Amino acid sequence: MKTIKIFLASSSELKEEREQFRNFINDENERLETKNIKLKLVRWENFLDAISDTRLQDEYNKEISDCDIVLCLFFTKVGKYTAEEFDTAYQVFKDKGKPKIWTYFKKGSLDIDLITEEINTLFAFKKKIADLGHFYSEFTNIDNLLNKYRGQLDKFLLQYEEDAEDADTDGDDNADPEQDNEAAHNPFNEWLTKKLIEAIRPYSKKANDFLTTNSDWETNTELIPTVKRIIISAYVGVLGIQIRKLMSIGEEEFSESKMKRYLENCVLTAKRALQLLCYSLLSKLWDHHMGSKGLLSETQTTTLVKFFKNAAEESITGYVALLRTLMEIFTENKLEPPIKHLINLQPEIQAGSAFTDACAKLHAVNDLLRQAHFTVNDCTESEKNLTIVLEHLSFLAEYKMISIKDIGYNQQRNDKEGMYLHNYSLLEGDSQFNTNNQGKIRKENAPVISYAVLLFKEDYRQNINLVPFIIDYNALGFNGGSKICFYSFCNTYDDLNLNYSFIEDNSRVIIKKSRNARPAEEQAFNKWLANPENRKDMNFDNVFNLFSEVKKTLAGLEEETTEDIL
Amino acid sequence: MKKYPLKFLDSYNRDDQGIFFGRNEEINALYEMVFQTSVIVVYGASGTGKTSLINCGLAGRFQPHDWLPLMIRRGNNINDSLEKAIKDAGGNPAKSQRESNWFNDGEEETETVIISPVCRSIKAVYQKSFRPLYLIFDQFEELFILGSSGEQDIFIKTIQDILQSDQQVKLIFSIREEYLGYLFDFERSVPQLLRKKLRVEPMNLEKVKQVIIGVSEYEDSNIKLKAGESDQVAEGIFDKIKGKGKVLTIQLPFLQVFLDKFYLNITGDENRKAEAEFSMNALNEMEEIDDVLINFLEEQVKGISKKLNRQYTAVSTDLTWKFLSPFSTLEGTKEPITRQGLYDRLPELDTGIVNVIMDAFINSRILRFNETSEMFEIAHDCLAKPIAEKRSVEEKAQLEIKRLIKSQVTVKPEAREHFTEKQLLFIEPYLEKFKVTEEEKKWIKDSKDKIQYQKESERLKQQEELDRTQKRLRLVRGLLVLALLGLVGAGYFWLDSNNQKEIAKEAAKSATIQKDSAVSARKDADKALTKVNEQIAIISKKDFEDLRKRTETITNTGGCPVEILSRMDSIAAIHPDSLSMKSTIKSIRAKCK
Repeated sequence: MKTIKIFLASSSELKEEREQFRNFINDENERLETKNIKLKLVRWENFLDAISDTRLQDEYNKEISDCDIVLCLFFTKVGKYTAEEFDTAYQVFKDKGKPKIWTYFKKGSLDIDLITEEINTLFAFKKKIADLGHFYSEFTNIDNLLNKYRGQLDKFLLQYEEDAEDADTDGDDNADPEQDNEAAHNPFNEWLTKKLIEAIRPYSKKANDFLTTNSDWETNTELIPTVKRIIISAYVGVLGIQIRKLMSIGEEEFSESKMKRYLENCVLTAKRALQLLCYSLLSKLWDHHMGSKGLLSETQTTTLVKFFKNAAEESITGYVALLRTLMEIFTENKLEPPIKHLINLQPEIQAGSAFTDACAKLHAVNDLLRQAHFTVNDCTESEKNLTIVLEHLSFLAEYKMISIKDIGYNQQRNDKEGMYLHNYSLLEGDSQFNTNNQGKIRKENAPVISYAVLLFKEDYRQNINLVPFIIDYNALGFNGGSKICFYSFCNTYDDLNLNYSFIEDNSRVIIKKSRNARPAEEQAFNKWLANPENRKDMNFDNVFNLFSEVKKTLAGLEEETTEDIL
Repeated sequence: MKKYPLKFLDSYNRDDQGIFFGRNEEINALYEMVFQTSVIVVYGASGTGKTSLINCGLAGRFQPHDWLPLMIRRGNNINDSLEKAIKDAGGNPAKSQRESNWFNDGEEETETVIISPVCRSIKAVYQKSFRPLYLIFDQFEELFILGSSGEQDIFIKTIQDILQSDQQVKLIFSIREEYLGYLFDFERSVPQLLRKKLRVEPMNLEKVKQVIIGVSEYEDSNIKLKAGESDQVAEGIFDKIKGKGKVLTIQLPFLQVFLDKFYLNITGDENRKAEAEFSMNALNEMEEIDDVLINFLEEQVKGISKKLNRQYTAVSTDLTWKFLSPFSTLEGTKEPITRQGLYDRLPELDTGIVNVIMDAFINSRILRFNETSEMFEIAHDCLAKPIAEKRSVEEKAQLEIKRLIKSQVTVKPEAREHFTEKQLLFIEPYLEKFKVTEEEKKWIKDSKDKIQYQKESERLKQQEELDRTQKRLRLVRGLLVLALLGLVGAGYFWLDSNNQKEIAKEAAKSATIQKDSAVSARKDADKALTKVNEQIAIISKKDFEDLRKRTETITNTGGCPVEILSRMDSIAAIHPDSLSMKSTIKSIRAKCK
């Protein structure tokens, strides 16, 4: 029979709860008998008075360190001894990894007469354990407590049994104390937040106004979430979404999964930023029909051919190289880039710059992730590198992204002019929440290109159309909300299907050419258009066709090519 | 270490992704919907696994940093439960002015939107973790089964506020499909409510196969299918559960309970640690089960009663069923209840016995404590129906009455309606059999007083009418007497004096006129009296009929309406239809015997 010792510490006012807890343990013992497990309740209050003056700390330490579980219950005060018991248990836990400590505070209305100065001990204790990073629960009555605890105990027992079995086979598997120390401080996003709010200040009115009136924000914990949210909403569309993810991961409790996801998202954020710049330049270049004029150097053409033929997604460094080439093309041909700040960025994307160095380091994080070997320091390092990348791209805080869906036209009898009704979704860090399946409507005097994802600064009619590199899958399929997907790669050597990444979860979305050919004859075509499924096919086929066109225009590649990349 | 891969009657959660099978299509559809709208309705029959689909299937599609679910059950009041869930998640609407000025949820339009306290709390929760917030209203039908219209109105308004203020939140409503119609008012206020909805279908053979094969192929599972018999065993299990019916689908809890029984049949290991091989031979050894859940519940009730009876002789199977009754509504859906509520619902049971039975059912995982609502409830809605079906007529009547009382008293006092006499007649015999709150008692008393007052007013009105008629009769009689006296006087004078013949003639003429007038007045009075009598007869007849109807309610539940019969006797005694009435009374008395 295995015995699990539970140390119950509570203030004297919770006598009834202690009694009920004892009954609960008895009942549980009956249930656990078949599992060969016995719960033994250790209650100090039985002899606390007797030893209060003469007890030795060692005596406590010994008793608590022998226990598997310490359960602390509090209501209006934290008795001197109970607090000490908690401290002892916590110290033993830090040294030995056990006992498991659960702390419960009773909630409920209080008779005013019962409130004494001792209530301050409760507040002080809550603050203390919060500072220690220890989490506590609350309970309203004994049923609530027992049922909360029953769930915890079940999990504990399951783990206990598994550990017991694992111990037989794997030997000692204690937690890595180094990891515990790493977890003690949560450094995630401190650097990123501090640097980015300053970086976007010239480009974001909100950031500037905030910093002007709150120069002390770093010392005011209440304001830090606001700063983070200003950054999330300021960075253009997809980048805001990625930064939101980083901010969220940063708030989590320490775990290996947290570190892993933080690293993955640092890499992904940098990649999305580079993709956005490259796709803006490619779109604009296509507008200039540069490829057909044959003004590209051989190296530049090779880079573009590589991008369009690549049957796997480019790496961060691959996108840096593509960005460099595209900027070269714009500069050499005296073309105005779609984002004027890119001219200033040009020196920063040359080899050896802080920007390219940071990108290379972020690229190398993939190796750490593959080997599943990383530490908090790697997270801190990646955060700093990402910060460098985003600081350089802070001008993106001036830009916005929008997904235009369909455009309606409304002109009725005696109207001097009609209204163009633009149905759209604004893409922001929080934008997935602002979606309802009715979308948003804006009245304009002229149409814009529909089913398009646009990058713009002030007026979305002056825009960079990012299709077919960035698409809104939901808009194309006549669904509400937005599903923004970034071009990833093409199945060049297979079925030529286009692979996109859905920005929310990085999952694969495939666009393939439908076999639903539109009728040539007008009347039949009209009839064909009446079916929404046909129109959906038309939209997705259009993405496919646009990609073929841009590929042909910029890299001179025909669809049928199977030529290998050198 | 091998694990038991079945969840029995518990719903699946995020940690159970490895053992959740057969719902990939629905998970994908639901996941896509999340990016298409802010409001989703998930509906399906009881036991199709709606909660598991959301908590395990959908949750599993999100990374932890993209998913902050708040599960909300109605509890005592859905508005309080929503507020509590948000508060517990860290929603603190009392943000400092310094912070709140810096965030505008609008987009390029900078109009200031005044947001409600709930929306401010949601915003606070979001800013605490930067995780998308999903408010999941589980078993949403409870709002319509157990909630008042006032509660529903407040809730709808709150949802409107949330949606209009563009908060960082999505709403998922999980509801039994038979209650979809109840969403009519809600949809009128929130038009997008039903535009994205997902029906969770019961499990067909293909899905059952996926579950059984998935469970056996799960790496750490202690259940394996015999090699080469996978399809055969899965089909055999499906057939056993669906029984002789021609249905093409089964419900998930039935499958879970059956698989658990199958496992125990093979291993006999209550700890569910031993390894089991599901084979056709083992399946053939399973006895035929008409209804898996009823069979399961009956076994549990019997087992628990038998075990407890050794120590507590009062515990019997009947008593144990009685104990379970408060956990099911009249419609056979589950009804969460507090411990005190349970004591109140079972006043004839000792609280100690109630506690002991409660612990036994919790240990057998049939009852559980819902932390969200802080109430006890049965593990699955599917068990509520068999519990409801076990109730006696008397118990059902009691519940009807309880609901009747509650439905009135939960309404705001100014909007309440008093109980009718018929309702009171139905309510009264049961009042001592369950606990009635002070407010309910008062409302019943007020209703009685009101009826008494109405009756008294009616009686006074009739009395006044009668008095008026009698007064007119007296007047007529007086006139008649005067007329007769006139005649006698005229005759006397005619005999007495010829001289006065002319005078007498005149007098006679006058008397004749008076007589005619008196006769005419009497005719009028007779008519009025007849009319009054007719009215009285109609009223009495109506009273009699009302009373007869009331007796039906009582005699149908086995009672004898002695007081009512006595009142009916007195009406029959003076009524023109006396014979027919007496015959009716006789037949009612016969029923009493």
